[in-house]
Amino acid sequence: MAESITLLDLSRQIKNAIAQGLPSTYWVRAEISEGRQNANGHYYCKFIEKNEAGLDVASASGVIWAGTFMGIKARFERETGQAFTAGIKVLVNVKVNFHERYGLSLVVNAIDPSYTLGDMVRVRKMILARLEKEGIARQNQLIPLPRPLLRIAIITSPTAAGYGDFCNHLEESGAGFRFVTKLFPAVMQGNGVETSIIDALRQISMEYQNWDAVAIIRGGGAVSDFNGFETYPLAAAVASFKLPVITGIGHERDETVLDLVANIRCKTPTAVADFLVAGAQRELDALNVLSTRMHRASINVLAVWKERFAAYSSRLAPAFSNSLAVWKERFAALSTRLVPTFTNALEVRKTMLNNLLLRIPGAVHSVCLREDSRRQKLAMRMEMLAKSATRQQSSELVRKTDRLARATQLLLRAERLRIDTASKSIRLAGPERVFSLGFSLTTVNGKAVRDASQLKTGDVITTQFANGQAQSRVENINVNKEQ
Amino acid sequence: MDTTQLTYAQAMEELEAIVERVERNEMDIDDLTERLKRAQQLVKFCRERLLKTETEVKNILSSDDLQAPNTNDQPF
Repeated sequence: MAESITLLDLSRQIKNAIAQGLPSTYWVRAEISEGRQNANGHYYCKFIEKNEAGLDVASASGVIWAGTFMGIKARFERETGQAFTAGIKVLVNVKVNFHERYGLSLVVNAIDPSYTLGDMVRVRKMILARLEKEGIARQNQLIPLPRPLLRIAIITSPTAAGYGDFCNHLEESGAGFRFVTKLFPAVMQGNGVETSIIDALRQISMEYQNWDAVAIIRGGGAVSDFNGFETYPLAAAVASFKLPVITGIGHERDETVLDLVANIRCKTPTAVADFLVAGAQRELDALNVLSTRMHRASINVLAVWKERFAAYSSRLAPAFSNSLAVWKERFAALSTRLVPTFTNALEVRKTMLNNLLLRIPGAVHSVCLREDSRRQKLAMRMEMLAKSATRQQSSELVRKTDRLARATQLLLRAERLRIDTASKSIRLAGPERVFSLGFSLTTVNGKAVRDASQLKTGDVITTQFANGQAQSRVENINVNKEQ
Repeated sequence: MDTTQLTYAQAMEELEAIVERVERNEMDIDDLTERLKRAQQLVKFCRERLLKTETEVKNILSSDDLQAPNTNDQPF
């Protein structure tokens, strides 16, 4: 029989070899793939390392004794805001331990949370860089929020406290806003996060006309597991989603990559509800402000028109009465001028007539005189002609004398006719006819009165009519200055 | 002049434009009533889009689903 040792002996040798060969502690970078705390408070997990293709290339059991676990977990979660759970990458200080019964394990003494934080940032940066390169990083943020923002598709876990909080908050502080919500259930913890949220988004996109926005919400305390949210496929799905996405996934400390690509980022589901209510309230306020302004402006416009009307109407009556007064005045001026004008015209006619009457006797006399002298001249010429004729041939003389006599007679007859005609026309212009037309001749001291200024008060004037005369005393004299 | 084809944002925009015109007193007095009516219509439309009407709320509250369950319907 070949030389052999017991398993326990071998195990002890391995234990010694490890204790001698790996005596110190080591800072190890690894990912926690499984982990659980047992009843005694010890934390047992599995550390792994993956290559770039995502395949495990190393694996080791790990343990954090209850005495150190509380402190490590608290510090880690305080500093990273990330739950100490499977899926995270950690930098841990370990001592390699070999137990005869349980085998190899890495006993964790301490943890450096900044490594995990850095790793999360690095992962986030990588995802963002890829989204930027693909041109979709800001795509969701560029979608303008619809107005009003009331129909919200909610992606969350139906059992999560956050959903109830969200709905209650929306109802209670909503003040009767017409919010419409529908739950699209998804796993919000652990490994299923990515695929189930992407599934929910796909369902919403099939009825996207029904929704104004998508809210991805999750309740939870200060510390939760965000690993599922930090993946490229999920970030890409949110960034390129056709409706604006609002996040409220309860990360107090930091932002997940979803927060960075979402249209609106809130910290908690309640904050999302507050945001929505505030938005609706803003719309309502704006509407109220507009109606108040409309009301006030309408009243102002009316007042302005009223004022304008009042101003015009108060100016209207004076304007009318003014124009009336002007016309009255004009009329009065005209009427005072009317009587003198007529009187004057009458006086002028009277004077002309008087002048005419006075010239009549003289004219008649001169016509008579002229005719007489012509007749005498003719007679004298006739005598001379007769005398000269006697001196010529008697027969011829006689004949000529005859002709002369006949011509003379014709001439005389014509002259008589002219005188008759003239005296007839004189008679037509004679005083009898003028008197018969209603005019009368006024004399004072036997002289015709042609001008009112010839008279003085107290004069006795004689008015000559066709069939008589009347005497009267002058009481009042008005001389027209215009004449 | 109906509001059925309007979106909320269009209605708000139109309302704002009307209010501004009235405020600048660019409105003829003949147009004022028309515009006021239109503004009222728009306010009503927007308000209805934002708020549940009272009757609607009452209807929902009085619907059967929210009544206390009838014990006779219980199978046990």
